[in-house]
Amino acid sequence: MIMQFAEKYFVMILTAAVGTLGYCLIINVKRNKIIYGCLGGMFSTFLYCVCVECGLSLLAQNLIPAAVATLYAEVLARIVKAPATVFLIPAIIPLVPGGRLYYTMSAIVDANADGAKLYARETLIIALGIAVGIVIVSLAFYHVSHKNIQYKVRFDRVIYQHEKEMSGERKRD
Amino acid sequence: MEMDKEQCCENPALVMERALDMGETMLRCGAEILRVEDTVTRICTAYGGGIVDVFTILSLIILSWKTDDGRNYTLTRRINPYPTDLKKLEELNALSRYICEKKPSCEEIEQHIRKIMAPEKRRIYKSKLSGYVLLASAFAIFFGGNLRDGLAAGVVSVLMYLWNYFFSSHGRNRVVYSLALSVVAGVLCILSVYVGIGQNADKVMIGSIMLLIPGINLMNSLRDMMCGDIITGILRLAEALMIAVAIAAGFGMAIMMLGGLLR
Repeated sequence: MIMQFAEKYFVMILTAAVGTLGYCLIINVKRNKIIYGCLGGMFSTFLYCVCVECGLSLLAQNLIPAAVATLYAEVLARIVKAPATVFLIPAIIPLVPGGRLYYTMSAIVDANADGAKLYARETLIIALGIAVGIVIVSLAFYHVSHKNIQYKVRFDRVIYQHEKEMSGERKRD
Repeated sequence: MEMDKEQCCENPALVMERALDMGETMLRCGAEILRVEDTVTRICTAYGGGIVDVFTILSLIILSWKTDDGRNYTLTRRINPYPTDLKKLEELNALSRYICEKKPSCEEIEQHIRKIMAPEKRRIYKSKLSGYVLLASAFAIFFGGNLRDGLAAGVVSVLMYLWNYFFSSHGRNRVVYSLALSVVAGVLCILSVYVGIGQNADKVMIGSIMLLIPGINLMNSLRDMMCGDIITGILRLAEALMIAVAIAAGFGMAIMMLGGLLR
């Protein structure tokens, strides 16, 4: 069964890795971090293939790899000390519905209303799946990592100054 | 080279300018709004204390600073679009950490930023060119094409890189530029199949669509919206959707013009 899986999806995973490498070069990721991007792209494609093989719905097929890729990027960002975007963007690229976008357009050109509707719906579902996957994991990390942002300090300070003025007025009375 | 607090407070505008430089360059390289606002706030607070207010959207940063001695300063800056460059973003991130720790003088910060953002020479970059070729041909095969389709997509992507090189998109409307570029790419894809390099026009086209797709915009818009910067998130999402529609329209036009060649 593993052999069948490998035979069926080997080309896909390999090309995903190569394509991700190309994307890293285009957006100019630092040379020593390209390898992480490639691994992320490969990993998310692998998960996508597993999800397809398990017969999950179109939404879940893209949601799960996107969520795991985000987890991968956020964890790696803390280990390697770089912005999470550097690892997240390459890891998500193989999931982007470029093929569906093309077939939507092609169906519209051919005046094939049913096909256009079907493909447009699928494109939107995939985009939604990726978005939700990223959001779920990032939200968790957002609450962990942005705890010490400085809004709170400033707010205390404003109250403090305000109170000082108030107490001064009271003393003058 | 360390700058003490009094010296800074004498001339807060200088510090603010450097903070805005950092914010502008980070935003242009593709940082999220939260990261930009946080960096600007941290730099100002590190140098002079006081109360800092930053408001950032995709094309504007407003920075208002009430220093400890009670004076108010406000600077604004218009941001122009710029291609995403994660290497520069990373370097800027490291620089902002360095600034908050060591507090170097304003001139030193300016020198660092100038060094990072030095304008690139106008030449054909081998790494970018190979990136185009790898991406297009790999995804042509990824979406079910054969080796010849990958080869055709590679050839088309080289021509697209040359188009980008001669008519670079700096300071132009990205939506219109994507429309023009995708018409050209579509025509090239159909011609490549007509000449006989590729076999399936659709796979070659998908490969070159992947080059144009606004993935970064979409990703950043999501990350912005999550952090509560809904305005910028919506701006970026709108741009991404318009680019996607422009790409579809461009390839559609190419098929309408030259689709007869394929039959």
